[in-house]
Amino acid sequence: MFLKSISSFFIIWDQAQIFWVFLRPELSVGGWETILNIFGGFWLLTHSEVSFNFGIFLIFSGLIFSIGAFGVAFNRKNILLLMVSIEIMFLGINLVFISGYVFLNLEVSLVYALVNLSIAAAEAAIGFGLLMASFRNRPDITVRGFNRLNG
Amino acid sequence: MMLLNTNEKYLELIVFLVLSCILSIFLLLLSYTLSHKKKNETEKLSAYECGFDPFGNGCSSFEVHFYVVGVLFIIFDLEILFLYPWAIHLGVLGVPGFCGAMSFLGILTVGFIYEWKKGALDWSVSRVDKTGTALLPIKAKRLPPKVEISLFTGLVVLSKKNINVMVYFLSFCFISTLYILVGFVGDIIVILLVALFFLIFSGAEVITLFGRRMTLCYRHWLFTHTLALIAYWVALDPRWGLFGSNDPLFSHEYYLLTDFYTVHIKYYLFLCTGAFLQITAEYLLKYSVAQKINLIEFPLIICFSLFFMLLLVSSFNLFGAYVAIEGLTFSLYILAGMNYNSQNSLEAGMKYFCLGALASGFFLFGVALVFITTKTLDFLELRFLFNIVDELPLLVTFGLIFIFFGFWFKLSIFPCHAWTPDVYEGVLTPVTLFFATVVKLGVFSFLVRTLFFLMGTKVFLFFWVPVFLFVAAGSIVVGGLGALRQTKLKKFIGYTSINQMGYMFIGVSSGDLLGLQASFLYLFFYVITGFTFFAILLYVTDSRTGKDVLFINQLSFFGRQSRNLSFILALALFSMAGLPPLAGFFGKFFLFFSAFKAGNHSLIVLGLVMNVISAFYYLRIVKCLFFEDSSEDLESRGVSYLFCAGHEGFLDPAVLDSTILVFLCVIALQPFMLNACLSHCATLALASSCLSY
Repeated sequence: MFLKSISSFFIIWDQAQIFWVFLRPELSVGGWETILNIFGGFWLLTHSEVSFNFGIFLIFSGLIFSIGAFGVAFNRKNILLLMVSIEIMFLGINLVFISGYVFLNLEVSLVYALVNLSIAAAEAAIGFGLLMASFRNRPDITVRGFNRLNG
Repeated sequence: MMLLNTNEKYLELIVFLVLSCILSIFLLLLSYTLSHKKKNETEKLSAYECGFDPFGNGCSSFEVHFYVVGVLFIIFDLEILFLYPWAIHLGVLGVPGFCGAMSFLGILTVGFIYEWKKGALDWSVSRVDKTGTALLPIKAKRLPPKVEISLFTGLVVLSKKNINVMVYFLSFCFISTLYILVGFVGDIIVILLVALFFLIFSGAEVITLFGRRMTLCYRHWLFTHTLALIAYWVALDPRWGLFGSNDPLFSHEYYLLTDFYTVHIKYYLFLCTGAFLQITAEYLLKYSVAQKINLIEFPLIICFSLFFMLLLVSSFNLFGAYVAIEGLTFSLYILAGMNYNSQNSLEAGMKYFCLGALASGFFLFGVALVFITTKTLDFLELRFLFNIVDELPLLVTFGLIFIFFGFWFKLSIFPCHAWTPDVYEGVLTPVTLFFATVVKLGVFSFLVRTLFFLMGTKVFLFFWVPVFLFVAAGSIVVGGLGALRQTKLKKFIGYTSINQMGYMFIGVSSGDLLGLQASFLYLFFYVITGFTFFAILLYVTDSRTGKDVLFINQLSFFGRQSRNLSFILALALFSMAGLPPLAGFFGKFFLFFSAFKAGNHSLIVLGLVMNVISAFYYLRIVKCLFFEDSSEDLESRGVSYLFCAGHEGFLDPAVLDSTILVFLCVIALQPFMLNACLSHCATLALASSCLSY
């Protein structure tokens, strides 16, 4: 039911041809549909013979990735939240690889997802190590506290 | 239940979910019933007597020590992640698979022991160093930020008692590292040759390690690594004919490629890293004595990053390239936060980590977009796909933009340059040198492979050249104007490197043979000049505080003390500024010439104007060295240079002077010799990346 309502929404959108904004600059209107178009799900829905769920998967994973990226870029409070945002970003990318396995039948993408997961975990481990070493020098984990080198 | 009826294979999953829910609820109830509670809890929730309601979120304070255990769990989760598929397919994999997994577990265990010995898992904040004088304390006072790479550095469990265990660890780790390091080349002769060198030198190292004092150990440790690198260098020399032919050699399921281009680049990477270790040896020894910190992992992590750079240069698959870049970046995070007693270094590490994770996330997202659109990541297939279509698909274009964001971050090019000055300022001075020279060489050579082989001249010329022109112009302007008002030396070097990378991208954006040749030439001259500059800078110390030279105007006293060294420093600066008889002039000349032939006239004008502006701040340092007349307060900010003569150094001051002078005269003052060599390299690069296969 939920998927049906979403898909009908997308079909209406397709008739409006907003997907073409990046291929045809004269149609570019800006705004949030342009941002959504970056993640490419709409483009793939209209321009190739992939299933409908694949496009939705891509949009979803692109949204998760963008949540993580915005979290890294605009977080001004806590470094731990920043690391959580990095993890969210990598998990969103992982979802792309997994959907490549599910919908496109590419076995190698599952291996990529596995390796990617381990790399993201290693990155988090290094980040926590750095953070703890920093915390032992100076017990402060706010992002604003890291400003000794500015100037 | 509906799921159960439709598809019975989810039954196990549901049982698993229910069981985990029951377990977690049970644990929560257990902690709720058994925990100690105070009677009057209403006191805790009420406002304090001053009458204000509490600001902010009261629940947000976390015990940070919790994350020590968190990190441990992450590492063991990784182990499960690798071991689960292995256990399922154990019958297929057989004995080699078993041995591989066991060696993985062994390395993990060794790293865990190392972590434990080092005191990384302690709950307490800090411990007093009992001896206080030990140069290489087995248990460090504070947590080293090297949780992950320490998995591999089991050989650093230094103890005089268990020499047998030590020798075992040494040989094990050397051979495994060696196998990994050279295995991707795919030639058994090279493996054997280098194994021989490695065994000889590690044997010599064990003897010297326990025969002498610890201060000497460190020197021999560095010396061994340098010798091993030279051994690699000799073994990989293209003139020996091992890889003399232009025939590409694929290995590891077409994930890696060895051809003339990669062998050349690897040759220069080995050379640069060996020279780097030798230049920084005295400084690190001095620093670790003065600051009482343990820098014994330093050459090892340098070698790890070298390994990942080699992997990056020969990778022939975008995901393989991502893995190599991530390995390189992890090593660089650890190098940046290496000096874990200094808050500056840790802050630089944190900044580099946060922005670097963002950049590698963008890189990986780009790879994923390319992958789901083209269904392949192999360079040959991608090149074929890119060359048959008239217009790149939208997703591929966005993917490539994301991928180039990752590259620009690593090279500190204009839109992604913001980390550079802060990180260069905060880290140890040798690490600044490494960031500024060797890493750029490795990453840039892979970027060239991506641009000129993967995308091909057609796609590159018609779509990407404006992007690269913009990026080059932006980084020239930002780097040049940023360096103009800097008073701190290392921050100045950071902005300078942004500027120089921008000049190098002029040649790339020409998109032809001449431009590529010119940028390689410029890059090599930049690396050589950087080495010369830092080789002198690393020997200069503030005589009052015993620390590095922080500000530019501190160099004025140095000009009076050592005329020879400051003359060479001035030559290096003139070369960076691009004055005619020196190397930098020829680099810039060829760059502008290639841009002229490609028709990028506005970029030439911009480059020349910014070159005049940048000559101002280079010459300001020269003025500081020779003509600064500030004798009244020389003592207040007096700087003296300090050679490590007390440690029986390899390098006598006089020898050092003459060595650097010869170095500069032979290489930097005679650019045509290098030009012949490097144009050969660049020609072959383009030939191998565009014409063959």
